[in-house]
Amino acid sequence: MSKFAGMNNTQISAVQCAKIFYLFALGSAALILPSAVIAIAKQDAWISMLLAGPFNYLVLALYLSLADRFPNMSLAQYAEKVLGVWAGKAVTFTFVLFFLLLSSLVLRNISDFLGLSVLPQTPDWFIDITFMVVIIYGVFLGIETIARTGEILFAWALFVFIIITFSLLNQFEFQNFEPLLYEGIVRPIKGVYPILGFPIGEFVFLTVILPLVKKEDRPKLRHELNKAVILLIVTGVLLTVFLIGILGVDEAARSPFAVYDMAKNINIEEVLVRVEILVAMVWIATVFMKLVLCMYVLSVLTAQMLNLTTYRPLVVPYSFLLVPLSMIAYRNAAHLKMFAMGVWTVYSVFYGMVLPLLLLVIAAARGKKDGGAGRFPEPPPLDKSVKSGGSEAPGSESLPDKEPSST
Amino acid sequence: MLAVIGIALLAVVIGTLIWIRNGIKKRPRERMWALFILLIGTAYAIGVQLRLPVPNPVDGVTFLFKPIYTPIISWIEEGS
Repeated sequence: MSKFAGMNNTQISAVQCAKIFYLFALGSAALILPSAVIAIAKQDAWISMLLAGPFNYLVLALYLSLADRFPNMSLAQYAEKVLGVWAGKAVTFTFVLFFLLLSSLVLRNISDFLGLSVLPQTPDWFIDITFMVVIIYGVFLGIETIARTGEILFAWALFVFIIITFSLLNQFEFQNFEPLLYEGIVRPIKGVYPILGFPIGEFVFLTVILPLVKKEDRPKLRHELNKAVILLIVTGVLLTVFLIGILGVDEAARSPFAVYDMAKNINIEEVLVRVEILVAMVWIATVFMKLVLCMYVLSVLTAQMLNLTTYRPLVVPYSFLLVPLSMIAYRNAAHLKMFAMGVWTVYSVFYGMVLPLLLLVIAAARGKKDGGAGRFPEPPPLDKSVKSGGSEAPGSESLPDKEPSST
Repeated sequence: MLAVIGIALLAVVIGTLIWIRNGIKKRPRERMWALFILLIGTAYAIGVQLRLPVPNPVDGVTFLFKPIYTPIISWIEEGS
């Protein structure tokens, strides 16, 4: 038996948690969200991005206080403790549906993007399936591998982001901002609405990731997440500022993938031109992180709801459900805009803020507090290695001497 | 039709793999749930492929939250 067998499964560090949080938040929102905000708030959209900043902190404080109360449990487990077994399972089931829909919409985003920009002749289902193969592999390998991938992609995302901002400075036009706050502060406040749902409400995935952070890293966690939030706000504001400054309000609001279109404008003395594929690469990477985390959370929540011993058998079946869901989710681009910017916010805020807040309030009112080892689907003193191992999971480093694969 | 056969074949292969793997590991409940989700997924995929009137969760969510988001949207769009 390995020395890790008792605590089972995997652990990530606080920094890794902050990095995957940042990548998740950048995720599919970085390319789609700014144009929606600009469509509402016009040239004051960057103020909306700033105004949305405090909500990040509120949401994180909510999840962190839930994690303080139940340090070793994920949402599925403390929902059962707080609300009773069957009500808790029902709530978890609605969360499972939420993540199922979220994953399929994220998959739809990536196939839309690839279909529009790079692979116009390739059918949707082929892009979906090839992307899903990578996702399935990532989810099989577990959260440690996902977190380490996140560390690599995080550096890449920052690097490309800095390159883009610097190489666009020569085209920046300040008069695009000119009637500053011409309708008062109301318009930027309206612009906050899509931001609330699109990345912020979806942060509820952290309730499953937080119990996996190492014990000795817990005190640092709040600090690291706060740093990630600051970086996130800076990225969002800068992206929006550059979109307005370079494309102008009209074009930025109309373009389906505004940041990608903005990167097409990069031109430094005819030497550095057409580097928008960098944006595409980084965006695919961040969407990969978001989708892999969504799939992971989806499988883990389901496994914990059903008291299974491992989440891995569920991953491939779920992807069978995801691909057709993503294909029929939106009928056209107008439907996408209507849903993603209007309906999704309410849905996502309900799951990202209202339900966790209710759980916290009920837990506080009933005095529920549990430091017990909930950790993962399985109870800790399981006599055999709980990782499924085998052919699909060759890279689970944390269990050096797990049972030999048996297929 | 070819696509339907392909989906069904893929589902059978993956279902067999799940059945064998979780049988060896003696995880009957995992096997049952995984196959259940696989069955739903396959049925859904075939339904989408044949253009049957399968339920679309996006429409469901839209219907469910209509009373909440309609006033917010009209507030946002007024005066723009």
